[in-house]
Amino acid sequence: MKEETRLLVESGERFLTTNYSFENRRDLLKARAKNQTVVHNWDTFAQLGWTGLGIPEEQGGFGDLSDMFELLRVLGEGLILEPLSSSLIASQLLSLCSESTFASDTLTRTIAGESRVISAITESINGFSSGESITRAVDCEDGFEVSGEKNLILDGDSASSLIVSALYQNPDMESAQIGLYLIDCESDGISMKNSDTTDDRQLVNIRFDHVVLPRESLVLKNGAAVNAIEFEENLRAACASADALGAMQSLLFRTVEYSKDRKQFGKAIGSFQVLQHKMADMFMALERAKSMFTMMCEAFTLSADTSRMVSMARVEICDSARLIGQHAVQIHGGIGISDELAAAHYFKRLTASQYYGGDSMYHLGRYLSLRSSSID
Amino acid sequence: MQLNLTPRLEAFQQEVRTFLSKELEPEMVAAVRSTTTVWVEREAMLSWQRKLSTRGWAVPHWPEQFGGTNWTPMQHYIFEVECARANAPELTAMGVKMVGPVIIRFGTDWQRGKYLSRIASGEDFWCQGFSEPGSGSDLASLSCRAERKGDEYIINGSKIWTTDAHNANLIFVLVRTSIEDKPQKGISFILVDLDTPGVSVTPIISASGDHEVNQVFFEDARVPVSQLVGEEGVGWTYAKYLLGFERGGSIKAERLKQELQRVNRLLLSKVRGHKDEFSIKQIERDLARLEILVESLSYTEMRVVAQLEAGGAEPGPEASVLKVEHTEIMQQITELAMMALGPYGAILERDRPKSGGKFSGYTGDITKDLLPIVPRYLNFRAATIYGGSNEVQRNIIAKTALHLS
Ligand SMILES: Cc1cc2nc3c(=O)[nH]c(=O)nc-3n(C[C@H](O)[C@H](O)[C@H](O)COP(=O)(O)OP(=O)(O)OC[C@H]3O[C@@H](n4cnc5c(N)ncnc54)[C@H](O)[C@@H]3O)c2cc1C
Repeated sequence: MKEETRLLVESGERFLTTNYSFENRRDLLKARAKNQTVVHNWDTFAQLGWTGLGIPEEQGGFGDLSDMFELLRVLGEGLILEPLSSSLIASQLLSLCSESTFASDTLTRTIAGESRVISAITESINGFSSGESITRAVDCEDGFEVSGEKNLILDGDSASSLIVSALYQNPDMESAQIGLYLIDCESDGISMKNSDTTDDRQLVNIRFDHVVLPRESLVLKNGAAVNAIEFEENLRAACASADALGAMQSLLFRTVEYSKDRKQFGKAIGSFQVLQHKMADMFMALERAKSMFTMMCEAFTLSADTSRMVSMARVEICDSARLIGQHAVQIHGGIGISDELAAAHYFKRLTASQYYGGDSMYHLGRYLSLRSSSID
Repeated sequence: MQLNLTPRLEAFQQEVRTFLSKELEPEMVAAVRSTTTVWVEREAMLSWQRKLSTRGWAVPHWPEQFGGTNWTPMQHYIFEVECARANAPELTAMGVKMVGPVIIRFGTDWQRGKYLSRIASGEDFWCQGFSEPGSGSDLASLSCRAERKGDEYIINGSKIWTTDAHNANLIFVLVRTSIEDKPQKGISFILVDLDTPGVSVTPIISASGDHEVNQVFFEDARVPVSQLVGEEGVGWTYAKYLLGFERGGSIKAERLKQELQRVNRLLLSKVRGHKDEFSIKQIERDLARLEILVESLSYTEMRVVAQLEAGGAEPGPEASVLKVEHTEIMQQITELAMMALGPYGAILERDRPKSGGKFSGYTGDITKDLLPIVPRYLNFRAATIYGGSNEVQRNIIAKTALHLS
């Protein structure tokens, strides 16, 4: 591990120890239950520089994508509720829009912790895939007018601005072209509907009803926008995987400890062979997940084949998350289902996060199509 | 294997069907469809119980003199299957299937007179106080104490994971009345009114956010000795008799078939997105596989019933086999339903409608009817833990069916 990464991991661990005990987190959940957006530690994140993680130094950030995933893995151990990964994904997109001063300015403010941008790409007909956009942009007097709907946007409730994909067409064009638009959430015509998630976050449906935007809002277009959308999909899969890996590590550790403490029939339940084998299976699932995490980090350094590799990693990590979550509950017995204790919260995160960034089945299908197209 | 119903049984089946089509209300079916837990909402269940009770079918497995029937095993089977097929609410087991049979077999005449008819009618709502914080799988190590003082027992301790204690007015508890003998011997079976001073119920909220289980505390709760079932110190025997009912006591395959239908409907609604053909095919394949598994369970149930009908012994390891099979298939189905939800599989609405309309929030609107799927997935993880964990059931199968010890 690079020295820089090691320090980052340490700062993540320190943050969890000082700010994120189960009791601290429970207070945040109380705020969440009152429908407040959980951004209580955001200033700390900005001070630690985490809001600029993975962004090139010349744009005001530091570290690479591997560092970013590594930090998210560490924070996953504490089941953080803040929308850090969603914000970092959007910042990656902003970072690609180097020709737009509007985008660069927004990125600078985001790194400083003054604004939060969330990417809003997926639509309901496409399910998990970024697919095509039905959301449309047309010319109007002052710039563009955008209409459409984005579906189940993770952490959308926390956004001050959105990066939205939309198809643009004018009468002179033969076919529509995809573009990315940076939109202030306060714009007229935007409405949001939140859904609670199993792991106490929010998925948001965002409607755009003739939202009028200045010209500078179009921050990326054509081929560059197409590539950015694919990159975004991979990032969502990767960030959810990094977070899940951290949660898996912590949950396995907690389960093993519990099995040593809990006594039935005069013995620690960890002495029963059937539970030992379950925990051995959890350990092996975790090893598979770690290996695929390594592969996934590598995938982002390559110029081609990233999507295929990310999908492979996602399949294995989702399956491990499910196995580890389910076994952990079973080994805990009744205690495993009580919302008052940590195990259930890890189980819930591992259940919900399978559905962020595409689940195992979706990525298996995606892998299958990329795999066959790579055979000549 | 075919059921090969005799004309007499066919007529019986018809009788049950007619009853169901006349008496079962759409709101009750809706309550079954929208429930997120094992049991349906209390009011829906009780309305159905009243109808069954009027017809004399609320406690068919009890002896006729206490309001039951003299049905053969095959008739019981037909009745359960038809109720499941019609999506009728299942009656909560704690009264009719657990404490009822124990009172009939081991209770005093006074207890029979006081409780049985009220169990059958649904006037009394019972909960089961066996497990304790320190005693789950190893139930015999339980430590909730009942000390005899004159004509009373004074109970101190607590019970945990008590399903429906917040809906119940009575609890049957296993308590320790002596610590001299080996653990199983000092246990007694006592019937306690939840209104007794010193008894209190604290909710435990599940991961799903549902309130299903509780902790019940006893602080110097005084209970008349007349509430003791059978003999002091023999409670363990009665509990084992009761657990036989809990584990193998009902027919489940038909209910699982209804659950598969739910996944089927979901799949057709294409909530995963119209373009995810690969996943849809994959889920279809998994669904077909589960249908076959459920069919195998259905035939296992029929074989057990046929054996009983032919006058064979009460099921031994078969009860454990049925418990393991049905709970694990149920978990696979709830998991597949989550897959069918796709991106919606992450949603767990905190303020989901727990009741609306007459009993429930079921509307026939697919987007609303998705709501129970995620909480059901979460809640049914408990199915392999309660009623004797599946690890413990496998220990029983290894020991009693395979004589491995
Ligand atoms: C939703 C729910 C509802 C419930 N309702 C009721 C109720 O109404 N009334 C009531 O009395 N109880 C109820 N229970 C309690 C239930 O019966 C216990 O949870 C169960 O007996 C397991 O006990 P435990 O939770 O203490 O787990 P433990 O006994 O601590 O078990 C923990 C783990 O160890 C394993 N284990 C234990 N012993 C062995 C062994 N010998 N070999 C191999 N593995 C072993 C278990 O399988 C489990 O995986 C309910 C539980 C739940 C979750």
